[in-house]
Amino acid sequence: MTRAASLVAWLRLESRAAFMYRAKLMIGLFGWVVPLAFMALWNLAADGSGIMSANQTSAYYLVILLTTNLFLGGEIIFGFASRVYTGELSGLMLMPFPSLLAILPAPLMQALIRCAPLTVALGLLTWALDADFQISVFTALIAVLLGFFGWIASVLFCYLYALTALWIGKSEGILGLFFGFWWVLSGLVAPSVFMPGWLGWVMRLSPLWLAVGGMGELLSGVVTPSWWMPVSLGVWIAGLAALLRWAWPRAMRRFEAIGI
Amino acid sequence: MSMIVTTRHPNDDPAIQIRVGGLFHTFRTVRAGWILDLKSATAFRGDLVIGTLVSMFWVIFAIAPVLVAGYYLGEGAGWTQARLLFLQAIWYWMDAVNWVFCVRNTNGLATDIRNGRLDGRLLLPGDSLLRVMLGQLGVQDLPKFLIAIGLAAYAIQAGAFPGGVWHIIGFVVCLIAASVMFWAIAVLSFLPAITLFKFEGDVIVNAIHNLNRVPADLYTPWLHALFSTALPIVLITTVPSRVFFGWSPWWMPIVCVIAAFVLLVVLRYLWARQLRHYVGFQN
Repeated sequence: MTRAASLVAWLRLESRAAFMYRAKLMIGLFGWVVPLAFMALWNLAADGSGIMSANQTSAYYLVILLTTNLFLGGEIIFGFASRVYTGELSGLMLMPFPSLLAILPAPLMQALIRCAPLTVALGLLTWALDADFQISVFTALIAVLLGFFGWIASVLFCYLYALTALWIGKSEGILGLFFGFWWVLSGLVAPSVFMPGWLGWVMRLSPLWLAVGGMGELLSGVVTPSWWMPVSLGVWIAGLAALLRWAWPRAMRRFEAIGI
Repeated sequence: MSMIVTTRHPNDDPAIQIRVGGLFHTFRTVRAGWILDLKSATAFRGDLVIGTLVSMFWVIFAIAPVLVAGYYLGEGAGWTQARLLFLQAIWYWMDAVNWVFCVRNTNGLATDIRNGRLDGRLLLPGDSLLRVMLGQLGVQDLPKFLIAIGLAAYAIQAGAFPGGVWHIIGFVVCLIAASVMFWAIAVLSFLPAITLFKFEGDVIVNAIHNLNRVPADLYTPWLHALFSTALPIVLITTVPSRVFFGWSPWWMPIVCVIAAFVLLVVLRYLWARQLRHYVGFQN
């Protein structure tokens, strides 16, 4: 069996498992409340700002619901740290494809299956909140590219961060700090246009914003669609992939294959 | 179950009587567990230092949305930046309640069910609910309480003034009741694990916790109605804040105490009901 065929077979297996364990699917829906909570806050704040309307912030956070649902940072970072800590990584290294990939199939399939109820919820919420989407053909094209490349860039970014587990062990507090930065830089806390000047610029340059908040600002009409967004993501992907290729063997030299 | 046990001290001291299994005995065992956790924490001071540093970073991330939104809020619905910061302080207090009193015990329950240790713990004398769900203390997160108090003091200094002395007393009552409710909700969220063996209740706790990040009145009217009635999470952070500012009627603290009491009664009933369906299990 080729590498690709074995990976596809695993993805198919995980999709069946995710569908069978529907309770987990339902539990995953509770993760949606964070964007909804911040939407409530920004609906109030945005109206007086003159930067975005409440309807635009609703549209922004509905897109964020979709992009954060597909973000697998928690599963990658804590999943990898846990496998290092328990020694399970030793077994994964025997697989016919890079062991880093072995963390992905289960959460990816769960996220994709969650997209089905999410699509229905997004439709209902768009109607209930009167969300103001501003979509043209070009905007839609850039948004699709952002979604695809953004997801790849965020996965590579999280893989790189996950490697720190080989230096700091299973310190969940320190590993979890990533999510604090992710909240701010991705645009979950607030759209970049509301951030103080320099922070807004830092956000817009980061792959986390391009992967999560960028599509929201694009589809709510706050940011003008431009080729620079997918192109800069392409540059990020190339850089992150090269860095991961360099860091992976160095990190793995620290793996002692001792589990608990 | 309570019984009198007469025992003899190892040093042949006169016989002493201990009432084993009563509520007082349960509290003593829970306290003994906490003291043990505190002593362990002094041995592993590094954990406490790292825990404090991580908590301090997280409080910045937690208040970031309010700090940014505060620039644009003005007097929006009475929720100024300072008042929202005060609400964040209460939210952070609940975060401390979660990490100090809930997480270790709920995760411990899930693990004990899977490896069969729960069978043994249920045979111990005393109130099983309190012993199992309150027996361990997340010591490294204790500084979160101090950080929450510091944040509240900053918010008050920035303009989130209390309505008066009676409002401060009412607020303290509400905060204690809300802390009890939060613990009860956390335990309730994990109860299905007793019969399902694998149930990730922490997602429910986190969802409720995250909904409390912003005042419930800011949600759309139908969500606000839901959070005030069928799913009264409004009592966790919004009501204590409103009582403190003097925005709520005088009887609101009484409502909080009654709600906490009702939740505890429901919890005790469901705990006993779940345990009746528990079968020993070892993975």
